[in-house]
Amino acid sequence: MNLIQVIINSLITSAELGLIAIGLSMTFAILRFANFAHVEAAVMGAYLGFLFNVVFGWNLFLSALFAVALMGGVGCLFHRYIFKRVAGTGDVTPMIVSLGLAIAIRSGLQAIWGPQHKIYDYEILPGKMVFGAFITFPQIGILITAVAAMLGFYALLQFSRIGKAMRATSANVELAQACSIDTEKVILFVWFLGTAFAALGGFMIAWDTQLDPYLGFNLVIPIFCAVLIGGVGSIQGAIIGALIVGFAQNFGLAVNFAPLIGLFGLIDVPADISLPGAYKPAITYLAVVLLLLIRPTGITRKEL
Amino acid sequence: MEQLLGFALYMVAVTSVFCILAMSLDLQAGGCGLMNFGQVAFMLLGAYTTAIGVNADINPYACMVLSMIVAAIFGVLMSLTVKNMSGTYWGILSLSAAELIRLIFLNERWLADGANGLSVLVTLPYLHLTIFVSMLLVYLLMRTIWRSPFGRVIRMIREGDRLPLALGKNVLLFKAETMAIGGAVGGLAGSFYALLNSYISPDDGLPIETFIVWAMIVVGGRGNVFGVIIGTVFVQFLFVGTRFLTNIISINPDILSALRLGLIGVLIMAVMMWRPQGLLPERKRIYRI
Repeated sequence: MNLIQVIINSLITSAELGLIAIGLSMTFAILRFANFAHVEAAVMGAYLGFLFNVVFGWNLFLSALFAVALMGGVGCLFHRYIFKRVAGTGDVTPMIVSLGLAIAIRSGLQAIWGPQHKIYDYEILPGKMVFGAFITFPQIGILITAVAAMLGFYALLQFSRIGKAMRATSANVELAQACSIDTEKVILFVWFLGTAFAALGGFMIAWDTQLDPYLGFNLVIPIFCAVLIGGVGSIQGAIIGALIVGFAQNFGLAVNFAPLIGLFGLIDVPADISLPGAYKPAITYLAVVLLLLIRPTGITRKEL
Repeated sequence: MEQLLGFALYMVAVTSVFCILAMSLDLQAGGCGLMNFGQVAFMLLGAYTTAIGVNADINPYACMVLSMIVAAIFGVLMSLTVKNMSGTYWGILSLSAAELIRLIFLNERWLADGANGLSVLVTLPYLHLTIFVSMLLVYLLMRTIWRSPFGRVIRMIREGDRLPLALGKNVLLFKAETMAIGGAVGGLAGSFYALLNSYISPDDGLPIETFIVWAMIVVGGRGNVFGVIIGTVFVQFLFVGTRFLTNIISINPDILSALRLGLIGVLIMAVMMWRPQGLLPERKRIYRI
């Protein structure tokens, strides 16, 4: 595999992870618990897109739009009917509730759609060769959408009133309330936006590869890894984290470790030692363990 | 009739195995406040140690002890990562660590035949009874720990590191001891699991198993050892009982198995929302003067 191809693959993985990670980072910062259901919401969004796209036969773009908006609403419902009840009980209770919700969503999706793989219905356009690397049409779409969505999210957070209110709430809830910010409204908005971004990410992953109920299972740890690397609540951080995870996953498999293990010729080793493909998830698991060991309270040293 | 009796015996034994596993998690999470989302790693390590040991012609009872030692060592290693990490972060770390263990068993074919799993071809006399009695012994052990000075200290650690540190308690040591005991007990459960099913594969160590055990302690009541047993029996009966719904209503088995797992998720949510202390809440002992 050539270098440019690995870089492009890494960028695409990062774009997909980043979309989900920025939503999680935002909810993590404001709601102050690890929402395990966030990733399953991404898969749910992808299935909603499938419902509109294949079952109803809508245009792919329109289905994505509706699925993302609808999932934002579902996020608000999650808050209203589930997480609001356990607010103010520390970070453990909502985390366990989110675990239960994640299991319920995954099982529900599997019960409805079955364990088979699904793909979206769209007009297949030829891929392109870029510097000797192949990039498919959906992947171009994913890169463009992800960059646009992330810039939009950043602009919203930096320049709009609600963005300012979100940053204030994430920094200090009581102070934000004292400044007459309706934090309840802010939290609802964060749920909407976070879940919508998760749905967008899920849709992109399903578009790039395929859709099955276990999609979320392999995403939980990479997404949390990206969020923790970047620091909870930081959008730029989440994007950098996603880039690191994406590149680590793809480069970890592509790199030949033989020179390194053989100490550059000092020890006799086989000419080609690379990580078996099955260990791709292990790279992020190991990264999470090492990362948290070096910085026990997370990269930003923020008490949760 | 004989078949039914055999099944009932098996159910008692399996439920006992999960009781042991749940009590181990309860000691860590309900006792010391260690949010272990990788509990299944103890079971997997224990089960594989027994399986590899039995296949290497080691006495099965010695294998049980070996399983406990291996899992306890892993527990201590895990506790080294705790430091002053907050519950959420350690939860994510332990989930990752357990997945790493599973991936190693899945991919290292020389170690345990990868995805095919290992058969444990040994029949022990009175295995079901041994498991049941062990469960009772673990129950007594947990009760004793709970009432001992050690139990008081770990519960104090659960409420925050500052007070025990101020009292001169070595918090990390207590956490390491908790994880060692929890690991040993979890490893024993794993060993029984392998012997009872005569088979172990990496698929038995999926994270969902951890969450089912979490459902057990959450439903029963974290911090109440008897409650944990009640919770385990409740979840186990719900989970196994619904398997036979196919005989009563016509439903696709795939859909049913998905719905059964979903039920576990809904159960966790419902209990945490409406009765966060569980069916049998932790009993606070009051020392009257």
